[in-house]
Amino acid sequence: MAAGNDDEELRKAIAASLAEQPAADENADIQRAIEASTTPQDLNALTAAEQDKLTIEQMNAINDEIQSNQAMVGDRVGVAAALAGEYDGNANAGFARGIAELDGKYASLRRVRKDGNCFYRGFLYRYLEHLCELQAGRGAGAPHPELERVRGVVRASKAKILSVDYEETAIDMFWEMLVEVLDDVPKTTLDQWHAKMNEEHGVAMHIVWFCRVLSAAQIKLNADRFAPFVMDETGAADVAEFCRREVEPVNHECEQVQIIALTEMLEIPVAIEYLDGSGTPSKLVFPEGASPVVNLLYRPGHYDILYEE
Amino acid sequence: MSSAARRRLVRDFKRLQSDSPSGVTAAPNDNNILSWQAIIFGPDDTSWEGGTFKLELTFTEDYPNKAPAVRFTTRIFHPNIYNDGQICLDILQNQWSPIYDISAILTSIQSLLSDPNPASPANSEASKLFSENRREYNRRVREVVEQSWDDGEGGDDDDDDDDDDDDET
Repeated sequence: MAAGNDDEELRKAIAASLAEQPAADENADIQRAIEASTTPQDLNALTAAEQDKLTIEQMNAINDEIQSNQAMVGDRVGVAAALAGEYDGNANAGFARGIAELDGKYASLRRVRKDGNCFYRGFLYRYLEHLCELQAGRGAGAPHPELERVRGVVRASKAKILSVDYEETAIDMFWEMLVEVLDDVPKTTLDQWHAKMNEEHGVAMHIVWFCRVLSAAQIKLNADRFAPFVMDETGAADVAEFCRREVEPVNHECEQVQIIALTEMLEIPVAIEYLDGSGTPSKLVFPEGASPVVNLLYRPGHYDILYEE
Repeated sequence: MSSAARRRLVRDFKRLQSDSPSGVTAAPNDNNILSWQAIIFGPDDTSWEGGTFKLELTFTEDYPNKAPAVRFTTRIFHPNIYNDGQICLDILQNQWSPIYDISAILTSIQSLLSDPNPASPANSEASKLFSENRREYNRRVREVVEQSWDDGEGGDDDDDDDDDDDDET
């Protein structure tokens, strides 16, 4: 097992944590968190080891700060209303044009907590919300076919996960929780679902992490196909190591590889609007040609949920 | 306490009992399942051989979504272990994942003993000796191995960081 956070790794982790915070108000939060957590010591008097330790403590403080300030999943708000303030005074006018375009296309947006789990959390929230809506439309009777389908997929996923050498002890509690959440869909209202996904220390953190396992298992089950996408700087492609470093750890941001793997594993398509400073958001659909219910907005380092209606 | 943390700790304990990895043991304290004591035996055929090193693991109700706090309560001389016993190991910090149970944590720490990572020094003296004077390094390791045998009866929790030598400057 590799040891330690060397400086490079730490820098990357910090960069990632900052990349999650594109907007001005969050940057201010971070700044406050750093100031609050920095003990008034003379940094130069500390050894490199002590500085590392201090940095880790600061990063933990930042995570705690984010947890106490941001709902895991927020209420629905208008797209322009939600985003415009964040880009006020942004020198790049492309953002304002992009927001206006999205505002014309989408009715509303839900913010997702910026803690590195935003893709998995947004994806799961929106898909299950949709299932609850579908099921409500049928009354308490027979389960909707889509609910039946995904229950089957999730039940069958455990054997697949164990086949790529995960310990049953480590994953089965998470699997059971997702199975249970799906079994409960027929008696879950939208308000209850929203509350469940916002309960700190509750089931949400478990089922959100389980999405990482589903994604990692799909990557390992199709190692040959995914290998070209997980190459490191040296050109080596070690799928298991990629999963260990980039998929399985809690709070690690996700790239397209993980998104593709998760949508394949669950057979749930997703559409992502990419908003950068170019002025025209570009939409990617995984897999290509599908008509997803789950629409997400990507801004560098972060995902939120978009609603067409 | 969250029933999820309890459920998982019980499963971890069962796995330790039934499928115990060699050279590590662990059990919760009688009155608190969130607080565990563990022992790691120094890996054979290394200068750590024969050592019995105690650790304490402290879990929160967010386990296994959050890593436990792990520290040696026996004195250790190692490049990646701080003087207060805290361990610089990626899976206990920014690479934590619930796939690691208590067995996996302890076996990772055990292999760290004989396979340090010089790139992330937590003890600068140990780190320097490890890369520049392996002979002296091994002698210092043998010293803590021998000290670990006298460490039998309690008294290990009084944060005595300052009673020793060196590398605080």
